[in-house]
Amino acid sequence: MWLLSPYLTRKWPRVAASTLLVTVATCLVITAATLLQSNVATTSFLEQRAQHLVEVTGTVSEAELADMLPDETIDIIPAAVAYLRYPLLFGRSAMLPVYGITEAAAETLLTAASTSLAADTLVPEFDGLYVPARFLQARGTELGAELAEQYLGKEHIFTILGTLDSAFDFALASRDTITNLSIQEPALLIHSSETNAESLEAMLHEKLSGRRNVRVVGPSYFADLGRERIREMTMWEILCTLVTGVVLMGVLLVHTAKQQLEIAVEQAVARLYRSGVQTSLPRPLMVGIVSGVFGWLTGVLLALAGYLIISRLLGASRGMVVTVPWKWICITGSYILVPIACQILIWIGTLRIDAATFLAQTPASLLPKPEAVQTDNRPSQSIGL
Amino acid sequence: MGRAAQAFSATMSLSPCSDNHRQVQQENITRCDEIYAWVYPLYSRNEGEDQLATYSIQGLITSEGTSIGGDFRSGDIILFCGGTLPQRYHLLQTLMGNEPLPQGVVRYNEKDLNDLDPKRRAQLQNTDFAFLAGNDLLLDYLTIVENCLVSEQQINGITIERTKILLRRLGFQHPEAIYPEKLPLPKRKLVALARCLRKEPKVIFAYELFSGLLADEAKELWDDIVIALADRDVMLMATSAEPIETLAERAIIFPL
Repeated sequence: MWLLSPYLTRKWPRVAASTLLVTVATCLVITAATLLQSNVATTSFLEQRAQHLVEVTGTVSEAELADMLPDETIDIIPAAVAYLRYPLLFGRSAMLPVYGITEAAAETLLTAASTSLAADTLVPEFDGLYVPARFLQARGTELGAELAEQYLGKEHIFTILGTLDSAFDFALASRDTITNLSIQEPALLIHSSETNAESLEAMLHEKLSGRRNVRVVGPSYFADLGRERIREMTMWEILCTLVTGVVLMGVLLVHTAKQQLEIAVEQAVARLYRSGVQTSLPRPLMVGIVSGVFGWLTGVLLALAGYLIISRLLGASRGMVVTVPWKWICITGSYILVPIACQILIWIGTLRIDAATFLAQTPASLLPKPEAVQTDNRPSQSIGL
Repeated sequence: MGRAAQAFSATMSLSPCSDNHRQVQQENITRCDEIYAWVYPLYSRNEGEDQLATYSIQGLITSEGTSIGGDFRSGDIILFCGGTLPQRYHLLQTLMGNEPLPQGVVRYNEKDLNDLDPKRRAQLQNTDFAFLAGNDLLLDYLTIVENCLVSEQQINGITIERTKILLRRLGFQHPEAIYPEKLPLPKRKLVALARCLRKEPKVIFAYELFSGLLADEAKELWDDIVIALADRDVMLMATSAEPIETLAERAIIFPL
């Protein structure tokens, strides 16, 4: 075991290279997971409206719903719903709902969304949009600017009138503005300050179970969508982790193979002095552990630093929500095992070198100096009579 | 006439150190087609000879049909030359007791190695024998002091100091600061020998002691070995493709 200390001291570039490889792999996977998760996190964030509003679309009237829902504290807001493209990373995008409402319904919706914006401050007969500040960042636009949106290949121009600071993200427009769009649908937004959205959704599902062409969009609907997205993201992350792990294993094996001479000599010395070949294992094993643990820790620290930078950059410039991928930080912990496995594999591979051959005629590939090759056909001037 | 026989004849014309040599029991030697031996007694021993280790080979026929024999003791350097590389390797393994004897007797301190049970033989090999590999087996990330201690699980100040003293005697000044990669091949082999000597063996079996060395380097190593072993009761049995000139001039030929 005392061999570890001089090895680390005098062969530190070699150990540092292994450590660096683990660091890069760990950092790469965690950063990739951070970016992949930011798409999911941002989409989920936009869908938080389902925790406050349940949307009912289809052939059901406001009066019918009012009869079905006995609680008087339940608000039913008639609206026309369209969507604005919310750009994400990797060419993906999410949808931000834009509710077209009448002036009369505006106050109810703004109260339900806990906005600081008062209904009477809305531009009368407004034909533009009120959007969350995050949306402005995502689209790279600003107040007063015109926003172009494609609906069935037809471009619609909106004017951004103001920002909404609310409990959940949505855009607001006049009902006429939305109903004039080529893609929109009428919806009834159900809100209750006393009953939570899950209960409301369940209640509506129960009451409308026999009705065809009626769709209830609430927390469980988005939860299903969220699970699907997480499944897809997990698949990509597993792929990324596996590919990175395999590449790391390959590169580390090549790198560790350079130490085969040392391992072979250590094994030979252990055999020669009858201390058992297994006594030559702790040194490479400890080198693997040191490389793995330090490489992983450094990789995690770098990735967390990267997370801070990414969250600032993406949050400020792209309106993205960035979260720490704790699960993938834990999974990359398996990379600690890669340099250890490489050391053990090389150590086992070195056992295959015939000891007698090694002690006597060191294989040419392992020789430190070419002139030390043992042959029976040495030049006549070498030794002799 | 084969190469071995030529070498034998050539050496017979030289004058051995008649004062020091012991008479070799020629009647025990049957024949030798390939391998031949040179014996270099470092010094005569008239006192306390009974305390020295002895090694006796009688009528040993190797797997290749070579028959060898003779009596050796501490202070002798025996160089087995000629034959092929595998022949010499098998011979050394046989002498170490690692391979069964097809015929003949190998006695160490009057004990027949063939008669010893494997456990006892292994114990004997562990305490009294050392093997010096053809490859010097030095690790370039260790100093030569550490290389001498590499087989030890734990080291302390005393063992380190003793090793430094040993290496200084062999001509390495400041051995704690010398790395093998800076040493020429003969000096690397000398460090490997020092690692053997640290175990204080009675017999050192050296495989292809001069392999890979040029003539000058081999002589240099030989001189260093003579110095290293001069004050030690240790016997060195080595193989080599050919003997070296220094040895040929001074050694007693072991008639095979």
